[in-house]
Amino acid sequence: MKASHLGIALLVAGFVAATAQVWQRTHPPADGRVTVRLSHWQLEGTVREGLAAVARRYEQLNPKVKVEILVVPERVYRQWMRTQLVGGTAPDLIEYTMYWGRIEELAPRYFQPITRQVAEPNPYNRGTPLAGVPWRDTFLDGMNGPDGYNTLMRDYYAPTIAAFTMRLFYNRTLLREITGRDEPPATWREFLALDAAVRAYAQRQGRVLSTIGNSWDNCWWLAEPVLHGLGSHLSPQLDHDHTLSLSYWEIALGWRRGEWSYRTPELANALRVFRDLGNASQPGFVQMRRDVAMLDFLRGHALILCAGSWDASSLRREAPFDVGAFRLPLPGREDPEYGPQTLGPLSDGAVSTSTPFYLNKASAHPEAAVDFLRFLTSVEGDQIFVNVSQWLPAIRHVRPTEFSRRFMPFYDGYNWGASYFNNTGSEMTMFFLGEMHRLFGPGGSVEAFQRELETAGPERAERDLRAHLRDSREAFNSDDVTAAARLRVAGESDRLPASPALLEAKYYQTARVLAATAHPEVKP
Amino acid sequence: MRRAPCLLLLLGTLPLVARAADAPTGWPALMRLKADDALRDFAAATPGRETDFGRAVALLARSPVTPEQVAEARGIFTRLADSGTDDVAQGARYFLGRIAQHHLETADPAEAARQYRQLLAEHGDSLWAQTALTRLALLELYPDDPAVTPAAAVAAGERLLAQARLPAAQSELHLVLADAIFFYRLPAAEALPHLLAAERLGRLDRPTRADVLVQIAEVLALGGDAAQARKFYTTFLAEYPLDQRNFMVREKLAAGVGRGR
Repeated sequence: MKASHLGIALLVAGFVAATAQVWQRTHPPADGRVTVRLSHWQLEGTVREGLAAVARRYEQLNPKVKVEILVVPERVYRQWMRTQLVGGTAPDLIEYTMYWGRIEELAPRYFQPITRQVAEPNPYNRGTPLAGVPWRDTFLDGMNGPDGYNTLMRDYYAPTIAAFTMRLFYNRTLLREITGRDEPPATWREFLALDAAVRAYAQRQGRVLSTIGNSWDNCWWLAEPVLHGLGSHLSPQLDHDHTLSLSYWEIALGWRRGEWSYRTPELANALRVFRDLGNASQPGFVQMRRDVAMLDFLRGHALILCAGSWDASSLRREAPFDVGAFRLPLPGREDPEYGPQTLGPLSDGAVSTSTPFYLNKASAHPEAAVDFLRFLTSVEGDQIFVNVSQWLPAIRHVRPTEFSRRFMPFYDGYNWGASYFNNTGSEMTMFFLGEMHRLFGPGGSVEAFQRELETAGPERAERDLRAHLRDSREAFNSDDVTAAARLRVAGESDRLPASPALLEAKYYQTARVLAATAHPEVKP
Repeated sequence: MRRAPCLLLLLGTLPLVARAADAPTGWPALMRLKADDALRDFAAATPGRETDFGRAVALLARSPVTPEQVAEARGIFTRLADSGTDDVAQGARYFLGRIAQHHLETADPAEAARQYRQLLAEHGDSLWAQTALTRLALLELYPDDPAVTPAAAVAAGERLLAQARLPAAQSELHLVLADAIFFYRLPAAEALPHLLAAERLGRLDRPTRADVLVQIAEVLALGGDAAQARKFYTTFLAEYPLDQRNFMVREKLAAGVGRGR
């Protein structure tokens, strides 16, 4: 066969295969069942098995529906999802998180709001304490998280199936070997004493061992609670709108207005604590990624790993030792050095659930897809998922497993929702992470880090704020269009056809503060 | 033989073309921000003011949105606004304000305010005018002129309350007024009537209502009205049992509200 003929044959074969795949995905199976397709990227532990178990139970209850689950690795998930959405072949239910950005563009184009449905009870909760409760109120966070409720669109979108916490995982066997005890440190001073004991042990044994297995990614997870926790004492002073929580604007614009800085005593303390945590980590960790930190921990080169509860079942499966977990013991009121400038107790943060599933606007079976979502987030469905995945539940009255119980969030404490770490946005976050090496090691100091933030930080912050203004304008403009269309199609006469004025006010406030504090090197 | 793959590809696109032709107008496509589809659908629809209006709206969404495209939309909106008094004319006037406010490369707040005022003067009770009212309030609250003091800006915004007819507009207006008072660090007590009014109107979405209940309680506590503050804190706890602020609110109630922050 000539090479050109072979090429054409391959092309035709590829096209036929693709057509068959599209046909298969857009036509019901031969047995007449409706197929609901769901995609996600969760490859951790037994999460895939958890979702599959829920699907099988749902199929038992609804024999006319087949649930097909597609797992796509996180690294390529976003590109894959975009391609599928644009091509019209995306699944009916799509895991996505607004933390990936562009939700204001994606939501009106591709995702279907479920505001009406979540106001009604979830029928799969009949016979449970949640019978008759509006679906949205069955979630631990009342679906008020950023994926559950979209403030710009003023609609409910994505039900969630799990909750997460950050924890310090530790090698219980090694801890016993070093300290003779099973119990991890309960206070900041105990943590510092443990760090000293680990160093002495490593030196005695001639072992490569650090207290914390750290990395660039893990450091991110450490910085957030440290800055938030130690900054809590300052937070009430910045709460100018009296909501008992700090918004992005209060933090970002407050910083521009000079209401706080990384020299403010509470945040300078936070940097000191963060420096101590970095110095308890393996040298050069700021250059490493999370898989290296995980390997260090699994190989016994680190006693502690800072990770999310989503990694718990993976750690339990992979670690050749007994794994324990504890909350980061930040300095509290009792601390001799930081006590007077702390506010305690601190909670784990907002009650927030995650792993959201959006309904594809182009779904051929939206009713069936929403029905599966109802089951997935019912007491029975989420319990099945939690039992197999070992993740924490997102639904009230669902019990965590014995294993996952230790990661349960602690809510009885102060939390201002403030992110002194993210500050003005992604530019400042990356700048913080890029410069944090100035804190660590023998030559590192809080002063060096503060100086760098003061020198180059304002320019980064301004870029963040200008990007925020640009994105806001795009969002308002898109909302103008979709709101006018909604008015025409749905005839909503009691809803103003525009984005919420309160959100638009933040645009003007940001512009005003920027104008008053503009950095000479950043062009508008 | 060589043409076979091309033919197959062409055949594969036929169902897509057929599906799009079913849509009666471009509005459903615009709800999904599919501006190209909407423009095609409007072009195929019966000509008229509604179709022209839809086409102009679609031009504001077709990516990339160029200045020429915005200028074309502006031209259509101007013609529609100046040649009638119907809903299309009102919507077109509103969009002329929005273009000046946000769609131009350099915003023109004076022109935006002029369009909104004209719409309010001519069709004050309409949905478009009431929406314009909340946008006009933002221009009043955050003027470009540095000589306008925060108190004067808030006073100008408050004067617009008299023109708010629809509960949705009243609610939004009260919220942005309270927010401006906080932003300008004016006495918090001045925000209280606005927060109370917004709460009474009953139009707040759940997350906003949670904030407003806390705000009212906090401002009342600051002012020393412990009994009223307690009422709103208690309502908040009852309605939002899972909110992250519950611990702090319970602490305040246990310590006796009204003792300051």
